[in-house]
Parts: sequence; C-alpha cells; structure tokens
Amino acid sequence: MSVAEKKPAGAAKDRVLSRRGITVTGGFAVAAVLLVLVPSFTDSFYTFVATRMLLLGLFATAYNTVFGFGGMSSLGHAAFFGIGGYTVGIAVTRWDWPPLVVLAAAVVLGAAVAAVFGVMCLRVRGIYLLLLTLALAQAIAGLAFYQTEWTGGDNGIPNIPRDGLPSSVREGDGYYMLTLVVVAVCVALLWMYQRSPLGMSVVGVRESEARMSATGYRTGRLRVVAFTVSGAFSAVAGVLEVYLQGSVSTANMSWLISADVLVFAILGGARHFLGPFLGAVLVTGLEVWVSTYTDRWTTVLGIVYIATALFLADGVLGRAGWAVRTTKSWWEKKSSPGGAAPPGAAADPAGVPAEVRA
Amino acid sequence: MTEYAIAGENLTMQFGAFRANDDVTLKVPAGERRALIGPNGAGKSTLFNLLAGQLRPTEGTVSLLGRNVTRLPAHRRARLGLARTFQLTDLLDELSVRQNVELTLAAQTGAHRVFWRPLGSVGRLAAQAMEVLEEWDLAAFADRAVRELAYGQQRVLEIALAMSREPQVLLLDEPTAGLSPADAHRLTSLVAALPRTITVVMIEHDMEVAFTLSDQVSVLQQGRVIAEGTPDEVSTDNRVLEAYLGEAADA
Repeated sequence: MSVAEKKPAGAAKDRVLSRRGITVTGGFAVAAVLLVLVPSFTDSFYTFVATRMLLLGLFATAYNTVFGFGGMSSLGHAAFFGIGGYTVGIAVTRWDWPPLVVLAAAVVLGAAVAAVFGVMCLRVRGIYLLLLTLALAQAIAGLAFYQTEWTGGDNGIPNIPRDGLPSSVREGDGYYMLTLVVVAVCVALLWMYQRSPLGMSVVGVRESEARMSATGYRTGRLRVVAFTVSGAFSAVAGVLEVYLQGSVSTANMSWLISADVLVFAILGGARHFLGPFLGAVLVTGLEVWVSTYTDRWTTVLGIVYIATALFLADGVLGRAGWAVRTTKSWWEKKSSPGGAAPPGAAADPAGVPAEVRA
Repeated sequence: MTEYAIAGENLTMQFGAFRANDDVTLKVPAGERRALIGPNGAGKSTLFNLLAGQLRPTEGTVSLLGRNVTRLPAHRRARLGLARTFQLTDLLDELSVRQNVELTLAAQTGAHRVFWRPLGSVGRLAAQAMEVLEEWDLAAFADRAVRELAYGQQRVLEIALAMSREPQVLLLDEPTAGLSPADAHRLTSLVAALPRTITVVMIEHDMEVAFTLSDQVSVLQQGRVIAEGTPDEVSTDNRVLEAYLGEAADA
C-alpha cells in the first residue's frame, strides 16, 4: 500500500481537484433534494414563503448581472419585475394566453425595456446611473398607474385565473415545484452566461472600460447586453410572482422593490454568483420570522441594512469565505508548529520574480 | 499615403480654454521606433489619446495604416491593429492574469460573442493564453488576481496583452514609469526585442531609455512639436535644451 500511495505530485493535485468536484456536486445534490422536499415539511403558508424565496432569489440573481458583475448600481429593476407581472395580468385576463406564451412575451418585453434602459444609461455612472434608472422605472410605474383601461390603475388587476397552468402545478406544493424548476433553469442559464466570454467581458467593463475598448470591445454595447439579460430574467421572476399572488398592481413596480433587490445583492454578497440569491432567502425569511413577534418589520430591516453596511461590506458569502480562509490558515499554522513558512509566503508574488527574471 | 503606420496631422485638442495639443503633426513610418519626450504637461498623453481614439480632436486628422480613422472610436482602431498601454497601469484587477489574456484574445475572434460556454473552454483560448503567459514569464501567476501582482509584473502584463493581439502599431505610454531600475531594465530589453514588423511609438521620461530605444525622437512642449530628429540631433538641439533646462539655458 505504501508504494501505491507514493504518487507523483500531479496525481495528488488531480485527486484534490476531483475531491473538490465531488464536494461541489454532492453539495448541489443535497441542496436539490432538500429543495424538492421542502413542501413535505411545510404547511401551505411556509410553502408560499418558500416559493417567494425562490422567485425573489431569481430576481436578485438576475439583478446582479448588472449590479455585482456589471458594476452598475441600478435602482430601476422593479420596472422589469413589474413588466413581467403586468404581462401575466393583461395577457391572461384579456386574451387568455397560455403560460408559456405569457412567459415568452414577458421575457421579450422585459429584455426590450431593459435594453432601452441600458441605452439611456450609457453616458452616466455611479450615483447618476442610480438616479436615472430610478427615474425611468418611476416613469414606467406612472404609465401603469395612469393607463387604467389596461392596468386597472391603482386597483391593479385582481383575480388573475391560473386555469392555463396544468392542474397539478396550479397552486400550493405543485406551484412550488413549478417555480423550483423554472428558477433552477433560469439560474443555470445565468450561470452559463456569466462565465462565458460575453459575461466575462461585462465584468471586464466593470474593471476598466478604457482597457476593454482599447482591446477592441464595444463597451457601450456590453453594458446594454448586461441590462437586457438582467431585464429578461427579472421579468421571469415577475411572472412567477403574479401567478403565485393571483393579482398585479403598481406595488409590483414600486421603487421599494428595486431597493429590496439591491439589499438582497449587497447582503448576500454581490461579488458571488449565489450571494444575491442567499440574500433574498435571508431577508424574506427574516421578514416572516420577525413578523411573528412584532409588526415593526421595517425597523428591523433598517437595522439589518445598517449592520450589513458596517460589518458585511462583501456580504454574507464574502464574510463566510473570509471566515473559512482564516480558519484554514489558523488550522495549518496550528498543525505545523514552527514548521515551514505559512502557505502564502512560498508563492508570494513579490518573492518569485527574481527567479523568473533570471 | 500608406507609407505611414500612424499619423496625426494638424491635431488640435482644446479643453475649454486650455489647448493641450496645438497643431501637432506626427508621422511615423512603418517599422519605426519613435519616442515622444517633453516636460510634464506638454501634451504627450493627450496626443496618445487622440491617436488611439480615447479622445476626438478638435481639429486635424488621424490616419492608421493609411486609413483615415479620425472619427472611429477606440475599439474600431484597436481592431484595425492598434494596441496601447496606459500611463497608469489599467488592467482588469479583480480578474485572474489568465482571464485578462483570454479576454484580450477573445476580442480578436468571434469568441467574444459566445455566451453559453465558460471563457476558458472556448476554442483554443486557454491554450493560447498559456502560450502568451509562458512567452512573457508570467505562467506562474496565471491564476492570481492581477491586483496581487507586483507593479513591475503588471507593466509586463500590459505589454504582453498588447502584443498578444499581434498589433501593427503599438503605443506605449511611459512603460518604465514607477519601476525599479531592475524592472525598468527588463522592460527596456523586452521593448527593444520587439519585432521590426511592429511600429512602436512610446512616451518616455527617461532620456537614456528613450534615446536607446528610438530611431526618431519628437519633442513636445506646451502642446506643440518643437523638434524632431534622430536622438543625436535632438539631444543637441538648442530649443530642446531650453525646454528642459528653461531659463538656465539662456544664461
């Protein structure tokens, strides 16, 4: 056995990599099983909450393609979320469109309006981008408010029938499963996009627009792409929300929704792909939990905002990664007292160049 | 018309009341090494921004490889074969060294339009990126975030990125600025070793470096070209001495 264990360094490295692969795959499998099993542990209210967590998680993940990865702080994403919702309300009550057609229409509309947002925001950055997206979203919400013939104005569109959905997934546990599938597919698509050359070049624009354009990238178009992708998937989340609630109103386009999704992203960790999803789950869960004790939810939310700003600049996932790294290096130091130099020093970037140059 | 790799004619750049470039003409034949020198605020970086397309001139024209590019934005000029580095290192800091190279290479082909596969898995991008990194002695740092690199390595990476695009014209904005003498020496020899098929225009504050590397030197002062010629001619030119030494030269 001892001979067999003496493998070259390369093989050991492969084994570590595959172990990591197994951990990741296993983690996903466990998460998938747990998510599928959720309805069997919860009553109808908590199934409803879990469904909302999923769709808000998708919304936050879609938002982050612009915010965390695109480096553009938008405060206008309620518009795309609401457009998805109104698409359901109008198309189902007026024309009785089937869900798949509604979904496709919502994706197209959300993407188109988001592209317009992106184009109009080409010349602004930072706080001005924040204000301009807010203003544009308020304009869309105003449209929804005043076009009463189409949108029902302040009353919105109540009693949206779900007859188009197959009866097994129309409500409760079934609808949770439907949402789970749609959200899983959308998040997987977003993951593929984010790692692709297109998604990575959007991150490149976040890092340095001058560098990317000097390299040959049309940076303005990349910013519009980020908005378009984000708007399309935000609209999907909006569709899921309205099929769940059975009604849509200007509240679906309220700027507070834009603010919420921004907080989801920051709280969970905007530099991590799944951070915003986690943020959405945590805030939604906290809201339900706190509401059982007090009706001062907004006060608690305010405290959470402040705590996030003070202690979680890189979000929960950022903090967690930091904690893992710290623990690991503490453990390694402890297990090799007085031994070799800490792992960082051997590969220190400043230390190596002398050999490389020689 | 085509004998110049890059040329600016009668370039004027006005920022409000300030004229950063005033009727500057700079014509660089293909294959030449040209150094731009001049005191701070002479308008060298502005001229670079006009040539590379970061700025559009108030007056005058820019031509690249015989083509009028005055109205083309930076990314179009880049695709025509122009590469540049920046005075202050400007890389994709949070991305890895490898990703910086892969994104640069992807821009040269249709690979940058792919939106369904991971960056490193598209075509031969990953292999080509490793070739570039090995060529420039950066392979050991492939998976490090760029911000973790030493400053000298970042400068080398900037040139590696520019060269990986196989440009025909390379603009280097103070390649040795802020480097230790050893790093500066290394970078100087890297630039000297660039193939002659590439036209190089560089801004350089270090006279010794500028005169060693260049065939021709253009001297800017207060937005104008005050002298042009071989290093020997320029280094003995009275106007140049005056520009650098100021009043003392008159005395």
